[in-house]
Amino acid sequence: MTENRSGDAVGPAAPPQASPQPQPQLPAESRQPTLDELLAAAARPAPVAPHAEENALAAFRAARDEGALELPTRPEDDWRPAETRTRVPWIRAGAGALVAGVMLGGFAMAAGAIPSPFADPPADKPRPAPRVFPSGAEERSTGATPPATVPAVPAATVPGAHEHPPTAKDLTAHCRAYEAAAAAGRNHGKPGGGNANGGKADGREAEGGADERAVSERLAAVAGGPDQVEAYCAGLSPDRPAGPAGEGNGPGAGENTGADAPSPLDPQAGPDKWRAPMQKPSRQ
Amino acid sequence: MGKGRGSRRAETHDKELGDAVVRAQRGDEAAFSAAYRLVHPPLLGYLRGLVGDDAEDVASDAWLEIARDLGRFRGDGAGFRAWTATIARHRAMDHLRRIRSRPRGTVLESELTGLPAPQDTAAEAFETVSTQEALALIAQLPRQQAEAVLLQTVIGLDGPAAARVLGKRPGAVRSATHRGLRRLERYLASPPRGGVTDSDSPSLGDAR
Repeated sequence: MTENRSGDAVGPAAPPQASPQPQPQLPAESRQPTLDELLAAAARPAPVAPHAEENALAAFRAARDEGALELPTRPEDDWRPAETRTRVPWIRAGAGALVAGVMLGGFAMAAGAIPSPFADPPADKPRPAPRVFPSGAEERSTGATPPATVPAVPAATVPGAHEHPPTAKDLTAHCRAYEAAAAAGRNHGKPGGGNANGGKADGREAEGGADERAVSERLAAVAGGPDQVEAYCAGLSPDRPAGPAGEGNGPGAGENTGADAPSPLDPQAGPDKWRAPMQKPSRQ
Repeated sequence: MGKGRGSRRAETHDKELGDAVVRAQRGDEAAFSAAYRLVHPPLLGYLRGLVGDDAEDVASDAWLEIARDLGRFRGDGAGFRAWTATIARHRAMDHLRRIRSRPRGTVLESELTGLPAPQDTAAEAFETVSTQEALALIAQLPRQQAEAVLLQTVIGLDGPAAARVLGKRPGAVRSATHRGLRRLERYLASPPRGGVTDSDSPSLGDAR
């Protein structure tokens, strides 16, 4: 074994010197080599044993045929220059941050932490309300920022109002909001009061309440009195089940009805209607 | 200093080696053989400095692993030399661990049977010092110094790459190389006593 190995490894030009003898490595009669000569000799390539190459090649074939060439790169396998190695993780980190940001944004919006464009539509949009202050210039901005100051513009001056005059669809939507609010009100013992949920009193709730009151008043005007609203809504879409979608959704009726909007419960409230407010922020 | 020759030889082939590795990673057998012929001789020299006569066996183990993990490797020719040296080094450390747990006499006996005849040295009389002798002398160094010298001299790695192979800071490898070369000069002035490639020599005995 030892002879075989040594013979293969070294070949005729460099016979084996594997000897535990005291000083066999430097022939006594020759002059001492310099350090450079020593290192050069160490770096001189030894002949390669043919069977060793065969074995390595066989191992390569076997690994290749097993699909080992597709194995993933581990950190210890990456010997690219440092700048290449670090650039890739930076790109990865950037992409990861982007994805994480989008996802977090989505979650936050779903959780109501971010003013969602879906949140204020049903009550807010068809508010050509003849009610309050006629300050028309505010419309654009208040469309995006939830209407803490209720935009009360004559319908004729608001572009959005032109596109969506109050229709049966709008009224259907108002009914949904009304019913949701009523359900929430029952839950909190305060009809139409999103404010009842005082724990989350962050303005949105107050707005929700204002929106709901606006809807109620509007519906009452159409139906011929606050007492008639329920009957009016029931008659508006007779195919709708009695239990409104907002049941149990609580004071977040504004957002939740928004989320529920495209549900089959109310196919009449077409998607375009719900989508319209969404475009407001981009127009700013 | 003295590492220049080995490094230069390695660097001249790095482009060729890098191309061969890329083709081998796509399954090209001839390219794998080409890479083997470029990498194996210095790798064997490095292992000879670490484990003496068992270098062939350890190299064979290392090449099995290299062939299996070739697809994982990323880098150029110089990177491939460093990557293969890392694998070979791990196999050498395993081997040394096994040897140390073996009864002392066994290694000695097997080496005694392979003792060369005195006239064998005549064949290379024209060389000031044989490759075997040089590697054996380097193997006399404390292991960290020996490895630092071997990786840079025989494999032809630069300092940072050698440091990464050894898992040390570049500064530590630089000073180990410096101390190793100084010690080699002293050896040349007055050669050390004791077995040269004896696996039980102190430098290898403290290998981890």
